[in-house]
Amino acid sequence: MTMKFKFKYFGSGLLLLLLVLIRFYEKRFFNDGLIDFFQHDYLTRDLPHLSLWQIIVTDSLRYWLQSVISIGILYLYFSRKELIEFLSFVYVLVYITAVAVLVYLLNNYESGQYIALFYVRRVLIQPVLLFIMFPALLYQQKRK
Amino acid sequence: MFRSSLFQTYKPVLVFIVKFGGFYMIFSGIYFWYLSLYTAQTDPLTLWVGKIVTKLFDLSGIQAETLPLFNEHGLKLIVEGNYVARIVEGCTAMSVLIMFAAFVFAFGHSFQKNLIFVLGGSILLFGFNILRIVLLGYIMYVFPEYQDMAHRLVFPALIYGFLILLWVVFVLKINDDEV
Repeated sequence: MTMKFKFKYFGSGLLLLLLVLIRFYEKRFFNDGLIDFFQHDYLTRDLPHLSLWQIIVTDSLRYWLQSVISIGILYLYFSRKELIEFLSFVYVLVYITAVAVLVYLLNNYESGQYIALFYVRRVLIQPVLLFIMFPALLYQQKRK
Repeated sequence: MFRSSLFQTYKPVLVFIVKFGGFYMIFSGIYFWYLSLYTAQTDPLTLWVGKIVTKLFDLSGIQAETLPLFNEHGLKLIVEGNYVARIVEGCTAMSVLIMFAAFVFAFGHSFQKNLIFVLGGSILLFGFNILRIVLLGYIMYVFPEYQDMAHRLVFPALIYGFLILLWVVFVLKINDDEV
């Protein structure tokens, strides 16, 4: 087994495990106040009294931690340095868009409209970008 | 900061991400509209999922039924007389299907191929999700101490793993011969 091979699979595998752990301990480390809401109370249709800042700061921290890990995974797997620069640009762009929409939705929340909130928040707290970038980059690599 | 040569190399990826965002919004918008038709009752898709789940329990020889939730949307899942879980809108895996379809339509070149792949893949994901609910219901009945781990960790990992696998098959095998 070459060194490169080891880095590619074990390195990205370990980082992937880290993402799983973040999800498992999300309540302890990244509780934005909405986790319980979406697990239990969202059907009763009133947003709990939450601090906008708590949501933004918690979800942002989680987003950036997961983004660094995701970029690490993609870099180790595809081993192309310029990927880091490109992905940083993409992650910043997606972050700005998602946070802007999230703030708008939280400020204009009407009971029962939890769905839109859930769909936008998930872009921040789930590694959605990693999921779609992996196949997309696989395709690009193959085309070359 | 961002070099234009990089932009050239990754332009197709960038276009893909923007298209994915667009389709994600369109598809979830349609879904929100569908749900808005059922503000006073549980939506038909959730009811249908509940029906298939109880049928599968019956087939495996375990007695199960669903009852409406009091004052809320969704169903109570009752296994062998025990109220084990709620089946609500979020259990229908529509959020996964929407992501799945948005990717294929943003990526694929041929509308016809996209449509067929989305239909086939959706059936697989939907079936996978039904199995997930049945197994979860069973775990909650027999091993309630593992339900949180299964619900929040094992099954999401499985379903997202399967989703990514479908996309990899699509980009490497289905979407191959065209430019």
